Amino acid sequence: MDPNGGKARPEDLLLQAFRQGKPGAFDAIVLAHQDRVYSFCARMLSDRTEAMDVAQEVFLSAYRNLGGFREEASLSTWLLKIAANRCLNRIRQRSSLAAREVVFPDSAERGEPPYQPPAPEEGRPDRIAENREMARILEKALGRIDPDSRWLLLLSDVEGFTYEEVAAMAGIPVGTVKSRLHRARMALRKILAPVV
Amino acid sequence: MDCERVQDLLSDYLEDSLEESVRAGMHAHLQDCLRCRAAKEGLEETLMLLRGLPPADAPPDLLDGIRRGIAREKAPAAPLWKRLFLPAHVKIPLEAAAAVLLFLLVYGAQKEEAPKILTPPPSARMEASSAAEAGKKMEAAEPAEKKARKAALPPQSGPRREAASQDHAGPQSPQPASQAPPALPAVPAQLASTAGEKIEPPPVAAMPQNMEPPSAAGKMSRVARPVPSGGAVTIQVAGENRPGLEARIAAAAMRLGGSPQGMPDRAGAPGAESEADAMIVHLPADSAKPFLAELSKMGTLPAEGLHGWNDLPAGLSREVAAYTVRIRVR
Repeated sequence: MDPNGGKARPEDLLLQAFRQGKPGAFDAIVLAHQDRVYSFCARMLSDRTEAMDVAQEVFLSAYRNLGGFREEASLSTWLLKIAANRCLNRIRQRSSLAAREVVFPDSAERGEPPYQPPAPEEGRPDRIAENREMARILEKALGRIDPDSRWLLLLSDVEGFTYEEVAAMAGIPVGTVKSRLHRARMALRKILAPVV
Repeated sequence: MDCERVQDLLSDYLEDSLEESVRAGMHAHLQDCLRCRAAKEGLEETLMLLRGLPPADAPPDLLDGIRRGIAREKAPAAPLWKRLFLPAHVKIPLEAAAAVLLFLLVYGAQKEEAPKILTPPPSARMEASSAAEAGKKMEAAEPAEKKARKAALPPQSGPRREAASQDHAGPQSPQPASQAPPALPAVPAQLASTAGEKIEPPPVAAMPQNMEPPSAAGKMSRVARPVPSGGAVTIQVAGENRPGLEARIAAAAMRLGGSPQGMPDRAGAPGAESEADAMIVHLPADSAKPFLAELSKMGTLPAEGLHGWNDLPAGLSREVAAYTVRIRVR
């Protein structure tokens, strides 16, 4: 059912504009999705510089392939699927996986301005995670979860995809998604237990 | 319902996706079990944290990086001539380095070739007298390449010859040089040099009486390079075959392009072989095995007397080998 009551969604309008070759259409697509794609990559890779590289790769890949995008899934789902594949490839290429996973660079250590969570969005239960310190702790803890489970956790519990959507993106049965997710949540709870 | 089962189903319980009977069982267990209730509350809190995690702000230069990437993809590929010659700051030093390397290679190759071009082939330096009948017959049967190689052998110096003789003294008994049999063919093969000097034939008077002179060519050895150490071979003959054996060995050596060098220096050599005589023969390395075959026609060659024959060609030179032939009478 179309939640917009038959009206075209902004995402569809942007896609249409891009396909018509209208200038600035792709910039608008990037601006609409860059935060989501970038934060997914940063949480998957635990490295902001690498996340920036991968996010650029994701949008360049989208630019090349948007012509063949069939709109069976939403554009954000499609972009996050590309991002997940690229992040997993990066993680597999890393020679020192453990060393890089555990250490999530502090913004203070990197000389960057401290993380500022955006204003709460409507419909998102972010009353706890808007605490800056808590977000940092949570991201650090996520870096210690096995990458193959981490991306399921991010897609399902952070990005809000359904089990069926996650299963379709991962190419695994829904039951496997559920069991892996439960194990990952319990592992995360164990990591967070001393501080939460 | 046990704790393990309850904790496995906590996610489903929190999502309210369990059957009613299972859910009721879990609810009852959670009322009583503090540990499982703590696990449920912890999982609830974790899910709340995850679901409340806001997206991070993308860096402001992300869009610029994407625009640059797109611009690179849109740019037409540089033509071949540009790819070959640009950018100049990379190509020019590379091409200059390649030119210098090429020059050095060509110069080095020419420098190596120059002596070969300027110097006449060693065969041309040989005296006409060194190509006489017996030698001619032998050499005519050999390939031209082999002849040229043998003719190019440099002369052997006196001290080197002595050293070679000492090398061949082996386990022989100390024996004064004066006790050497006079019949040994002492052919000084190393009187020639590669500098175009005349190769002196050995004095005919030094040849044994029962040995037919090897003619002018036979007197001049083709072995004309400093001779290194070599192997040793023992030949056993019956008493009646002993007379003139040295001459027959010397003749065989000369037929194969070598030369007999006389007695080895036995001074200081350990172990006495009173019944054995010995002589040193210089041979082209490739004639060593034919020489061994010749020896086997004259007598028997015990296996223990073939010391060093498997190491051919022996010594420093790959062209010339020196061998000590010991004669033992059965």
